[in-house]
Order: sequence, then structure tokens, then C-alpha cells
Amino acid sequence: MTAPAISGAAETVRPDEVGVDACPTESRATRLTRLTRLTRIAAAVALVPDPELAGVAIGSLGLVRSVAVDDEGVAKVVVATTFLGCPALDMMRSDVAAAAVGAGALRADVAFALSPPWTTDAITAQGRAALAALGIAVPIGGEVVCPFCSSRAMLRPLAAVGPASCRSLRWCDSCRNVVEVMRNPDAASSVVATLPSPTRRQSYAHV
Amino acid sequence: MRTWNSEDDFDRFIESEGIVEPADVMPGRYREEVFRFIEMHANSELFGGLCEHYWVSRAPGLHRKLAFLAKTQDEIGHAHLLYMVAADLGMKTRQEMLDDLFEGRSKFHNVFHYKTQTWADQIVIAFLVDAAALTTQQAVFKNCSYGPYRRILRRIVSEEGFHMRHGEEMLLTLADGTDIQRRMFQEALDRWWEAVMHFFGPPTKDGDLLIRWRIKSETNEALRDKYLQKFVPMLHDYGFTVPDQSLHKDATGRWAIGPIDWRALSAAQANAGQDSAQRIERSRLAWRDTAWVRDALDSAAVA
Repeated sequence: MTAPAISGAAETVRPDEVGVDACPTESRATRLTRLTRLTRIAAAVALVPDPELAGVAIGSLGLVRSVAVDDEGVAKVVVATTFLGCPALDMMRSDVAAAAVGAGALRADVAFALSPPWTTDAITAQGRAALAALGIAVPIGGEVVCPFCSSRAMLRPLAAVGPASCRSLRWCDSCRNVVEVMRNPDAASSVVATLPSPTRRQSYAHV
Repeated sequence: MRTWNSEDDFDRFIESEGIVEPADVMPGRYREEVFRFIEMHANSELFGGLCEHYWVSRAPGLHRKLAFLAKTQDEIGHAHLLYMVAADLGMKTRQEMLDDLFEGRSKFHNVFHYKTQTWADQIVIAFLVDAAALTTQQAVFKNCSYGPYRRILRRIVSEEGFHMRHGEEMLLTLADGTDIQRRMFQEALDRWWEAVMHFFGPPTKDGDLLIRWRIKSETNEALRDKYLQKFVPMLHDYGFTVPDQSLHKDATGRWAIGPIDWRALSAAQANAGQDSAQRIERSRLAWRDTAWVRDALDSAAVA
């Protein structure tokens, strides 16, 4: 067996040009640029508004599981779903991708995390405040407080599921307003929402 | 709980941006007006949900079916919120409102009095009619004097915005499609444009109680005009023709339409539209056939 013909730069390598010290690394400035870009993209993704809840960012709902950027500048974003049957997933995917690109990503792959399931515990204090402003309560330790009048004991259950699968309905006997309450996903959710839309061609993977 | 000595006092309260709460002793006419307005909105959400539900099995592709299923849930959920707020006003119970609706004694929006003939008809409803509904609801939400209604409208308006985006995405698919798809949408637009214009209602009369008591804050003409400025150019951008020979830009550069023939709206308001009887009958049957679901849910623990 003959050795392969060597040509090009490899022919001129000197001993002191190989090894850990000579291994090419990014300059500090480049590293900082990359970190800054990742931070910028992560912040932009967290601020993407929920398609159905005006003024509530998906980051504050605890829906952003991870954001990464590779060397080429392609962002990989993993988003949790409140409910598998959520009709807003497609819009969330395109909004998240647009936000990542707007913050400097070359392009973005958005994946939905099915496991571990999202629960209302993931909602941040900021998210609770934004939801309360819409009249939507988040139970804390099973307790629900009326977002309109702060009454604790006066909330009468109306319906297990309201306008969206992620919310139930209650009636506040104290201030006589309809209150929606965020609920945890259950086994009845459907998996079909995670199927790709026929009108979109972006690549994404199941996680 | 607040009381007012006269309607004049109440007028002043409303004028000074006051918000009426359920426990207030409000003038009887105000209670009636606000109740009628919310009842009609609730009925229309329910019919909207049934209209979309009809298309779940007919929509092309799993993705669209799923979206229609979710929108059906939204609309029925909105009806639920609205019926609760309406019933709390003490004029009719929820069951009485539903009975009146199923017996043809109530009103609901004009667009639900006609047949949807093709998938494109449904896209016109999902985009242009939802957008019209959003335009009117937003105007109510901004400044409505009845507190509980205003509070649920905030959430309803958020969700209707999401429906409109979904509707536009469907419109884009047809607009960007084959000649047959484009023609299908144009024909649907030709069939529905008048109904969309009627949706905003006939010109608001002077002294209208809804305006006077800030149940709504803008006149029907103002909302129709606002809608035209946004959607006429949009339809033109997509390469469609607005079916109105008199459509033109007026001296101020605003889009204006020709005179509106109100006959079809009058028929719809009398529940004597092209499809009124069948729609009402279908809603009655839908309610009857889903009784077992409500029974099952009622007996289950509520989250």
C-alpha cells in the first residue's frame, strides 16, 4: 500500500506548529461576540408574545426550554407546549424563528418539547402579573385568587375547559366577573398538533 | 353598590368615564341595552363556533381541521363567558337565552344567515368577517362602560386577533395558489362582500343609547370606514377585486364605497335570511345532541 500523496500546507508543518498551544482558538473578541449574540437571541425569544394572550411573553410563561447558537449562527430553540393540541404552535414557531433571526441568528430551527410536560409552576412572577392583567389567574398551591378583586374563597367553578384547553372557567361571586384559570395539561391532549403544517417547509425535529 | 337619582346623573357618571359594576343600581334602560348587546354577541359567538365546527371534517388537511377544532372551542368558550355576564344582568337565564335562540326569537350576526358554499367562503368568514368582528369588538373594548363585559372582551379580542392571523394565512394559500384557487376566493368575495359591509350595521342614529351610555363608542359608519381603509388595499395587494362598482378614493384619499342595499340585512335581522331557518335548526340539534357531554362534564370534578 502506497502512502497517499501529500500536498499543500501539510507539507510545510513544523513541530512547534502543532499541539495544544498552537491549536487555533477564537479570539476573545469573537467569543464575546458569540456570547452576546446568544444572549441577544435568548432575550428576543423570551420576549416573543404568546399568539393568543396579548402582552404575555412566552418566556414569562416558562415555555422557552433552551436556546443555543452554533458556529454558523444557526439558532436552535426548544419551546415547551402548554397543551399538545394548542393551535398556536405554528404561529409560535414562526414568531420565535423571526425573533431569533431579528436578533442576529442566520436562521432558526424551532422544536417543541413534549417532555417533561409544561405545568403552571413554570410561569414566572412576571407571567402571573401579565396574565392577571388579562383576568387570568394562575393557581398557587391549588389556591386561586380572583385577578379582579383578590377574593380567595368566592370562585365558583363554571367549566373544566374554557375558550382554550389551557384554561378553566370560574365565576367570582364577590365581584361577579368571569375568571379564567390556567390549568395543567392532562392525558386527554392530542398529539396531532405537533405534526408539521403542509404549508410550511422549515425543518424542525421532535424532542 | 352605587345608585343614581336620575338618568341625568347616570349620564354624567358615564360621561366622566365611570365604569358600571353588576351590583350597581343602574337605570333599567341601561340594563336592557347592555343585556341585549351582550346577548347578541354571545349568540353570534355560538353560531360562529357551530359554523366553524361544520368545517372541521371538510377543511383540507389535518392541520386545518385541527385549527378549526381549536377555533370552535374558542368561539364556544367566548359564548360561555358572554352568556354568564349576560345572565348575571338578571333579564334572562342562560337557558332562556338559548331557548330563545333555538326557537328563532333572538338575533345573531347577519353573516350566519347565509350558506357557505365553498371552502373559500369559509376563508372569507375566517379572515374578512373575523376582522370585521375584531374591528367592532376592539371599539367596544376600548371604552365600554360595563365593567364585566369590558374585562372578558380583553381576552376575546386577544383571541380574535389570533383567528384573524390564521384567516390571513389561509387566504395567502389561496392567493398564492392556482388560477382555480384564486378564482374560488374571488367568487367567495363577490358573494360575501355585501354581507361584510352589512356586518357593521346601518348608519347609527342620533341619540343612539349604545353610544350615549358608552356601551360602544364608535358609530357603525366610522367602523365600516376604518375597516375599508385597511382591507381594501390589502385585497388589492393580493390581486383581488372588491365587488363594488362605485368603490373609489374620495377627495381626502380615503376609500369609499357606493350606496348600500340594506334589504338582505333586514331579512337577516328578521331571521328570514337565505339560511336562517336551517342554521337555527342545526344549532338546536347541536345543543340537543351534545347534552350527554354537558351531563358528563357537570358530573366530573372541575379543575
